Formats: sequence, C-alpha cells, structure tokens
Amino acid sequence: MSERSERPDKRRVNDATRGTRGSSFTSTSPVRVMMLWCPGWSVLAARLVQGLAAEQALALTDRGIVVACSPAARLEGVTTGLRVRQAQHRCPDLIVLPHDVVAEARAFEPVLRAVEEKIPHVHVVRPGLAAVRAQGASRFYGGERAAARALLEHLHRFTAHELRLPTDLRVAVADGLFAAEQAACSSSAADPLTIIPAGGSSAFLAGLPVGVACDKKLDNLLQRMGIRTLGDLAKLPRGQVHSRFGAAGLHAHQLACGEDVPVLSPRVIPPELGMHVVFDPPAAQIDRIVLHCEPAAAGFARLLTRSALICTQIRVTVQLEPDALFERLWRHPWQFGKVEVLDRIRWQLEDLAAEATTVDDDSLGASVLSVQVLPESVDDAEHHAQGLWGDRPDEKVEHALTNLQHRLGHEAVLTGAVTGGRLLHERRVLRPWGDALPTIRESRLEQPWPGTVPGPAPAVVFTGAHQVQVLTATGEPVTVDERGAVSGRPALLRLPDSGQKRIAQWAGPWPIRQRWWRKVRQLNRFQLIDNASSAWLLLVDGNTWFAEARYD
Amino acid sequence: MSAPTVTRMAQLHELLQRHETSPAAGSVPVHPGLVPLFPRGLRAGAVYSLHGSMSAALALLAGPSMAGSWCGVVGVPDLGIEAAADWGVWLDRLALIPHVPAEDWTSVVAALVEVSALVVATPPERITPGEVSRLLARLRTSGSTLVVLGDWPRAAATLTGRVVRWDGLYDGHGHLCGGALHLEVTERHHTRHVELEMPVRP
Repeated sequence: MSERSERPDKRRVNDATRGTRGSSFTSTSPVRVMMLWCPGWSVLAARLVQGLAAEQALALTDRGIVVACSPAARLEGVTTGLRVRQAQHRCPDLIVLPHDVVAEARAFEPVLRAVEEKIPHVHVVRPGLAAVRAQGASRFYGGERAAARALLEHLHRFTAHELRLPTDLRVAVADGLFAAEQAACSSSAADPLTIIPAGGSSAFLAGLPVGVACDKKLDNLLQRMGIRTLGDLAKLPRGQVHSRFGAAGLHAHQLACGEDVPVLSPRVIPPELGMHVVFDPPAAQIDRIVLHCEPAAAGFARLLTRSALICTQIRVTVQLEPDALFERLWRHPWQFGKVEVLDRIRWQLEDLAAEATTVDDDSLGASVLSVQVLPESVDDAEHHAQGLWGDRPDEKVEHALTNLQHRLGHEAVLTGAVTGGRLLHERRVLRPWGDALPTIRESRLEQPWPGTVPGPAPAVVFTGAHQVQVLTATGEPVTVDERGAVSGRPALLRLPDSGQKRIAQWAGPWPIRQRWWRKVRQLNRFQLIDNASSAWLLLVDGNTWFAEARYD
Repeated sequence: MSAPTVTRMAQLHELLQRHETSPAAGSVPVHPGLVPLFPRGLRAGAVYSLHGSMSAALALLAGPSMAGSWCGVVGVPDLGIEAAADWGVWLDRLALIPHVPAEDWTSVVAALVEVSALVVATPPERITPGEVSRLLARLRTSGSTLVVLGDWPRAAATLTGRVVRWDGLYDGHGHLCGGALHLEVTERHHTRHVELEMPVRP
C-alpha cells in the first residue's frame, strides 16, 4: 500500500488549509514550519478512548460513510468513503464507531503538551496535525534536522511510556503550513523525517497531484483540462488563473507556487475553571458538605471575575461512595456567584437525600467522595455588561427571591412565560427562579397552532386534570366518537366538589389533532357556560371529561 | 362658623386622610379600567379581601405591573399566565410561589411584600391575630398592598368580582370572544362598582 493512501481524505486536508485562507493574505516568504503528523490519529484516538486492541478492525463513520479505518480493517478491504453496510459486508467483525471530533481533539491534548515541553507555541492544524515555528528550535538545537530529531525522540518516548500506544509519527520541516503538511504526508514510516530546504517548496510541490490544493469540484475541472500536478498549475499565469477559477483557483495557485500565510497562531490554553472538592473521610451530612465546598466556590467565583468571564451554566457532579455519579446541569440567567453555586450543590444533595429516603433528614443515604463543579457555558463579561437601564432585576428583588428559594427549595419560586402550544397547560411554562426562560425562538409563539382556543385566555388553567361529568338532559353521559360525533346535547355539568350545574351555552367538539403519528387518543375540546355564569373549557377523550380551564 | 375655621377643618381633614393612608408612599397604581373604583389607587400598606373572580385579581395585578413594579402570587397553582399577560401583567416581573406550607405563609408573604408592590395570596386556613398585625406592620413599612383571595380579619375593603355577561357562545356554536366583569368594592360601608369589558387591551 502506498503512503499516499494513508493521507486523510481531501475534504479534511482542504479544511486545514482553508482555515488559514480567510483572514490572512499569503506571502512569498512564509515562515519555516516544523509539522508533526500522526497518521491515522482518528483511529488511534478512538482506540485510546474506547480501549480497543490494535489488531481489531475498527471503522469510524460520519453520517453512514466510513471516514477512517484501522490497518486491520484496511487489510480486509475497508476503505474510506464506503457505506457502513458495505464495510460490514467486507469485514463482518468490524467495530463501527461514530467519528467523534471533540473526543479526538481531547485525546490529542497530551501529545500537544508533550510537544510544548520541547518547543513552545504549538499551532494545531487539526487533531493529529500540529505545527511549530522551526526557526527558534533550529537555533536552539543546532539545526533543523537536530531539532526535528529531538522532537521525534521525545514524542516517541512519550507515546510509548505515557500513552502506552507506540505511534507512527512523522516530522517535516518546510516553508509554510501547506508545504510542511504535504512533506509530512509524503514521508514514510521508515524515514519519518523530511526536510524541504528553504525556497525549495515549489520544486517539491510540483510533483504533487493538483487535488491536494483545491476542493473536489475544482480538482475535477483542472483534471479535465489536463492540469494534473501542482507544477502544471504553477506554470500558468496567475492573473488568468484568478480570472478563470476565481478565489479558489487563486489560492490553489499561490499554494502551488510555495506561497503561504506568514503567521502561525499558537494555541491559547484556557485557564482551568471549575472546582473539585474531595472528602476524606467521605461525608454524609449535607450541611457539612456545603460548608466544606464554600472556600472552593468562593475561589471559583473569584477566578471567573478575574478572567472577566460570566458563567451561566454549571454541571455539578456528586460522586457517592459505592461508585455512583450524580450529574446535573444548572442554568442561571445572569451569572453564577459563590452563593448560587453553593445553593445548587445543596439542592442537588437534597434531591439525592429525598431519593435515598433515609430516616435522618439532613443526611444522605451514602457518603459523598467528591463534589465537582464545571462551568458548561462561559462568556466574556463585557457581553453581559449592564446597560444604563439594566435588564436584570433590581438587586433587592433578586436577593429576596433567592432567599425565598433558598428556604423553600429550588422548585418553589417560579417565573412564568407563555409559549406556543395547543393545550393550555403546554402554553404556560413555569421555570424555577433563576433558570432561563425560553427565548423567543424556543417559545414558538408566533407559529400557527391550529386547535388553540380563540378569544380571551382563561384566568384559571388547572395544573392537574380534574375529572368532570357532562350529561344530557335525561342524565345520559355525553360521548364523542372517533369521527367527532357528539352523542347528545350537553345539558348538565357535574363537578366533583361543587355539585351540578346547568349548561346554558356550549360549543364543540373542537378537535385537537396533535402527534397523530404516535397513535395517541384524539382529544376534543368543548367550551361551555354554566348557569352560574362561569365559562369552562373541557377536554373529552371518548367518554372521559376533564376540566382544562375556567374563565371567571 | 368663620372662614378660617373651615379652611383649618379642611386642612385637618387632609392631614387625617394622609395619615390614614400610609406613612410609606401614598398608593399602589391600578389598571386604567379600575380607576372609578379606586380613584386614589390601592392604599399602600392595606389588605384587601377579594371574592369571586380570578380575572379581578389579574386586573389588580396589572396596575402596579404596568407601572414597572414587581408583583407576587402566593398559593395559586392554577393561575392562567396567558390571561395575566393579556391583562397587562409583565411576566418577567411576576414571582409565583404556587405552594407554601401553612406555617411559612406569613413569613413568605412578608418577604415578598418587601420587594413587590402587590401580592395576591390565598390565605391559610387559620391565622393568628399576632401574625395579622405583624404582616400589617411589614406592609406599612414596605408600602405595598396585599390582596387576599378569601376572607381576612381586618381587610381595608372587600372586593367582589363577577362575570355578568359572556359574548359569542351560543347553543352549540360560536366561541367566547368577550364578556363583562362586574367589580364591586365595599369600603367603610360605601359601595362603588364598575363594569369592565373583557378582553381589555391595555
């Protein structure tokens, strides 16, 4: 098998080069770049994450198409671009996993740290491919070859000992990201070090197929015009290439001529937010746990303030002694501070205690080993700066309501909003104070909701379904059949608590057609006015009647 | 009676009225439709007892809410949020406490009146005179009003809300499209009443 076939598919190569295209201009004198490439990193990362052995046939898929496969699978005939069904046909014991880009990037993180131990300021092209500036390193190690060799040795040692996963690693030094990447991809496992001398990019690139520098469509077009290598493309006058093929053609021409962006953007390591409190010995009293978490929560809030960040969502993970994790996501419309975090920890522990149903009120069923709080969504504080007329409530109101919530529980203090829906209780959304209410987009109020009640909204919408009876004048129960035919004229309304009322006016049935694909029973709605001048909305499901709402 | 005495009487009367209202700050605004009923607004620091209609409670909530204050609703799990919004209640300034344990009722309402102009609450089954006077003191200092959905021992006035007419619904056809809400307030043996057309467009 040729080394070229190991190259990640073209779509992703182009993603990598395109990432640098948008903002920066290309220059004729790109920086010397040392590129590290781990061939087949997606598969290696999946193996690391899932703990799979090297000899197992493994394929990663994205929307039903194989995007990467292990050498064992490749021997069986699995290639990238196959459908999953075809791949499984060729290799029946194939392990198929979804391609998880985030996990892949996370698995690459230790490798990046290892690179940073030798050469600082790593630019991540994508997981599996990282670049550093070669100039400083070559001065320090006494030559590009020595620097590359030092890096390679360090990484080999690292992957063998730390990751326990001997990895094929390639290092190339060339002018610019594109040439370095191509050089790294063209090296072999036997000779993992490629150095293209300064100014030699165009000569090196001339032999490569044209497809590596452009997308599939342009590649196809160029092939049909007889332009098969980057050398052929570079020979054409730039102005004409630009006018014929547009921006993509110009970019491809620049890359073919060995021109590339002059800058590398080193990765920025985000500060470690979040808090982790370990209990040794394990604790079971809620008050003690919360008290213990207090300094860490204060530190968390301080760290957020210092980094000028606002945290609106946290994930609280409670680890219990017999190996159980309880995670919960908490949201806040403005910002988590120390008190808010501690309250969330307390409520989560109280919920746990309620589930455990122990005799002692203030104790959990099991002991807590650790409490971890991780920020899930953070934003720059300046985006949330309060305007002259701030949209968050007065501090006094916030304080009073938060105090009430602290005393009565998370779900006791609510704020409400109206959302779209057919049933009235669906249109009323009540969220605990502090939780974010649905946005205009989420509430879908403007969408058409066929089957909603016209006219004024009822003042009382029952939370629970109250069963009622509707009878005809002769005392027969009124029913509605599947086709919406009413068995008789509704004349009497019998309520469970306040006796029987005469129906003065009525209208219905108004069908509520929703989720017909789930084969749920179809509901019909009736509106009626009783002799006490109360108006009602009733729901009927065949022959069972419920009071939905009351106008009064 | 000479003229200066008359003016003096009028001044004293004015002073008395001002004292009778509230030391905090006058009154709590009301919905434009309720102005004939409460020409000076709801008395701050007072408790009103409301019987009958929930729409009347929403109408009362709408006044201070439209004026930009926070409002609270205690012990009403079945409140129709949409109707409240139609009356003109700002939902982002409405705190709901649907269920309150009976022993916490006074303290919860007291905490809520500190920050909101109007609190609508379902009263607990029994309340001691001590708790009543403590709550009144809190109301007076915070300058807000409490509307109790039921009887209250020392209510400033009793309100009765009743829907007297519904439009649009007939025998087997049509749908509700409006109605009339009759509100009656009895204050010191004087009765005033007003009829409000629903739905109200604020």
